[in-house]
Amino acid sequence: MGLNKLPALLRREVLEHKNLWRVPLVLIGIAVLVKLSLSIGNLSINFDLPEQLQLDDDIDSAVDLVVAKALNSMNHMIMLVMFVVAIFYALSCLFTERQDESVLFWRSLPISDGLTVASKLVIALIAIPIIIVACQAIVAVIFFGVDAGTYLSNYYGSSLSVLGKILLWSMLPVIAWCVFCSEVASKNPFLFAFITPIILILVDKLFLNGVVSQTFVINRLYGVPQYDGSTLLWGVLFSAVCVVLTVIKRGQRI
Amino acid sequence: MSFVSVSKLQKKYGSKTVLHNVDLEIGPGEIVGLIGPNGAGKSTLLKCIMGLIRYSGSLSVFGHNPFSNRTAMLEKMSYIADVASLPNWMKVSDLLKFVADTHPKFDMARARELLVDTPITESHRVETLSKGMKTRLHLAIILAINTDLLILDEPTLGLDVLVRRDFQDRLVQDYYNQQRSILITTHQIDEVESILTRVVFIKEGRITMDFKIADLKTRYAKLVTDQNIVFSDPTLKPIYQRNLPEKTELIFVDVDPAKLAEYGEIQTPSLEDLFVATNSLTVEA
Repeated sequence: MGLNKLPALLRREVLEHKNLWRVPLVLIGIAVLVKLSLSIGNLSINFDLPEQLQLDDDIDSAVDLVVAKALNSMNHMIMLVMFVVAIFYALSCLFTERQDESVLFWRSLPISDGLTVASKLVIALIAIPIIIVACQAIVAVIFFGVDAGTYLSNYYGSSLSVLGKILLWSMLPVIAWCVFCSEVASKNPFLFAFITPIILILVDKLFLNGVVSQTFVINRLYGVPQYDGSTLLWGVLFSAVCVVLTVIKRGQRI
Repeated sequence: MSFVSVSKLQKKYGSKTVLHNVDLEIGPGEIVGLIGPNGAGKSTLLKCIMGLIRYSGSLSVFGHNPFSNRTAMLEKMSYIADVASLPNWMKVSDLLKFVADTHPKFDMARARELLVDTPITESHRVETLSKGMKTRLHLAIILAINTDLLILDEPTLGLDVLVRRDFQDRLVQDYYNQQRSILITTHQIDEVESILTRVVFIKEGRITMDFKIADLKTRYAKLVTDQNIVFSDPTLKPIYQRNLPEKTELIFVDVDPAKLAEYGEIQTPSLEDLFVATNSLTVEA
């Protein structure tokens, strides 16, 4: 199946789509700026506490908790931003190579279309989550230094399962859909990817009872009510169809 | 053993038939020019052979079905579908590394050797290169892949004569030998005439002529005469006649030259003569 060629394909993606590493660097850069501002700039977490409270341990831990909360939202932000990066990446990955016609060159090498499409999915669904987790760890180290371990074990304890759920139930079908749009859209994959579900919702709400679009589109974006096997299965099934059609379409392009 | 074996190949786009029952065999040691006017179906035929489009009929390249068994086929055959297709955003060094990592037959040392005499350095990005240099780079990559068959679709289209000549010389010097073959398409014969060993003319989806350059002299004759001749011998039937102010040119195929000698001067027709003869709209044999 030529899996030994996968590293070269992944390397190509990282070289071509610079946002995959630029955006995380910017996010880390922002964290560094905030940290610098805390130590030498305008930001401060030194609350003006009345003297009698300053030695109170409870207050200290409350302050720590506030810092941790602030960091949590920063880490959620990292996740959100990287998901947006993943979606835009998926939408452009197969489109740009058709735009600049380099697809003719890529396809003249002995690499199967399946492996090429797989490399895009690996980037969006495996590499990006790893980048998210790594960024969060780096940001925690920036703020807490050696004490980052305690914060991270707490944070990951609750966030990793959320990340996993979002990935499997929501990101998988969304990315598969975007990759599919990237391959089939003739002019604008972004428009294609967004308009189609909007039309589905519109028709559904206007003429049907709205259940279809609620289940297939809205829940996937805003969180499914129950993370159960059958919703997962439908998502996987939908993704598989998207991926198979993408591979077939790439093979038939002139 | 033949490298490419095409038999009864058909291709339709909707109701329009672009290829009608095409037969073609290519063996080792050939430089085949597939020549036809625009829209004759030569690119379509090439796309079928390169496994880029579906077709009906039988087609095998090194024993593989080009469409369904493409990856395996591409380890034995290399092609340039479009010289303007190298990824512009890539650095030359990354490009070479990518091909080295994905093509088992790619020889990095050979590629570097082929680029030594060019102004291309590995730190260049592809987009900074001129069209001629992109072509040169693409060719260097393809020539460094050790395959037995090379397919080129209008490789020198839009390039100046220096690059074109250089491209052809590279093909002959750096690739071609008795074990390897090249299939090249063009609609301008004069571009490739000098390097071909075999010519295939294609017209409206049908192969109209297929001969070795070595047979050109023996099989085809051009009679140049100033008389207005009527041939009494029914075996003397020109496939093409061109009336010029002072003379008439007639092209014959498989005719005893001795019989023609009495009517005028006999020459070996050029490929262009034959091309015009087969594609001429006015006179049909």
